[in-house]
Amino acid sequence: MNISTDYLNDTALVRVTGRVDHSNARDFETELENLQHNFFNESGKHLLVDFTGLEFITSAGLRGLLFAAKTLKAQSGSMVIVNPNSTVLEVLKISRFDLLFPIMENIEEALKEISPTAYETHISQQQQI
Amino acid sequence: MQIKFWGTRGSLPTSQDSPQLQKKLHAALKAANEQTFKDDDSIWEFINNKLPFPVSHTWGGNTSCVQIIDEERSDYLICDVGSGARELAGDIMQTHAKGEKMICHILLSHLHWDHIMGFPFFTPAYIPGSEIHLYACHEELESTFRAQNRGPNFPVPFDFLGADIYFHQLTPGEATVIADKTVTSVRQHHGDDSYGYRIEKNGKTVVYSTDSEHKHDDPESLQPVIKLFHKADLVIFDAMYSLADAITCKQDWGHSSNIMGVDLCHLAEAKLLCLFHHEPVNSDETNYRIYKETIRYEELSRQNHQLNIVSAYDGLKISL
Repeated sequence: MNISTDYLNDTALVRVTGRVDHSNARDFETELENLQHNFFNESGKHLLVDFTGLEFITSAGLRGLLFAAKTLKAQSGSMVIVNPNSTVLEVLKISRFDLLFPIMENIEEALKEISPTAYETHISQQQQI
Repeated sequence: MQIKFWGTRGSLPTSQDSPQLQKKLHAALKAANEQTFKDDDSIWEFINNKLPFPVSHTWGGNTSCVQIIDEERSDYLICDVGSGARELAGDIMQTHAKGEKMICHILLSHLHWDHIMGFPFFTPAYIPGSEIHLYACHEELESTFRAQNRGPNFPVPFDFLGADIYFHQLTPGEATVIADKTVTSVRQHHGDDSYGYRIEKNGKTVVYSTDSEHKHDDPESLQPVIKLFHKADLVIFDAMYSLADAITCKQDWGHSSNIMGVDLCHLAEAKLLCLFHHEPVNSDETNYRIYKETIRYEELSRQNHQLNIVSAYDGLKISL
């Protein structure tokens, strides 16, 4: 599993690749806990979790998502899952986690929905690239 | 060993109502598609082989009661005596060899109502000369059963039961021999505590683990459960809620999910996962959907070890 995080104004974009299961779910949770301490307790309000490169996630990994979502909800923030592959999407549906979090097809769509300022920053960064 | 399920629901018994029955009849008639049947055998062949399972069957509505059948013995080993115990009692009374002493060993996962409510209707308890042995890790075992058979809740006082009834306190983690089987209990996370049982004989293992909430909060806390399930031939598992419900709105309600069952059984290299303790509001269609989804999740999550899946229904028999 690999995790990387970009910050776009009030939104953290966390990219998760590989596989999240019982062997590394604690690392996944720790990353999200660090976000809470370093970002969401300061200026952060929204979390985008980019599952584009995620191969699979088990119950242990799904629990980690919940921790972040609860924190954000308490602060009137939001969390969106972006672009899960068909396997991960099936897991989200079977576990009924698709009822807990919005799932969107791409980062731009998600950013536009939850944070226009973060969207503008993201577009601007893309154009510079 | 054979395992027969007499009650597979949790919390409360339930039953089908007329609209649900009529929906099945409608589906069956539609599937028949105006074909004619030449005799009864061809009708049964259609019912058993051509109709979808939730149309031709029902999961039933009795609460937890599971019989462990050992053909080498004439005594009975039973896990929990929910409302399904009434039908089990009927079967015992019909099939027990005449003149032979009736001995029943009953393991209690815990003392919640849905796991003991069938005992006042358990006919062998009323037969003079019969022996009933009740086993649990709870100190309140005897007082709970006495309280259940007492006014104003039940008209027959406990002391009027004709059988010789014995209460046995088990120690969690200690193996003991019951009905020629090695039985080991493990404490589980549930209100007022519950206990899972590992039952072994002649190289075959069945685990009865109901009313248990398995949490990822502390991965170390899952180790005793993984050990309980280790390489079991059959794990009877509380899959009452979806994973989302179990860790959000129903957290600390003391139950688990199908997803958690698959993940734990994969870690434990168990062979067959049996979904059990179904939510009483679940229709047969819902239980069937959950069963198929569990099979699919196992396919998706499988790495080295294939786990087979079954969903327990009243009347199901599994041979190990």
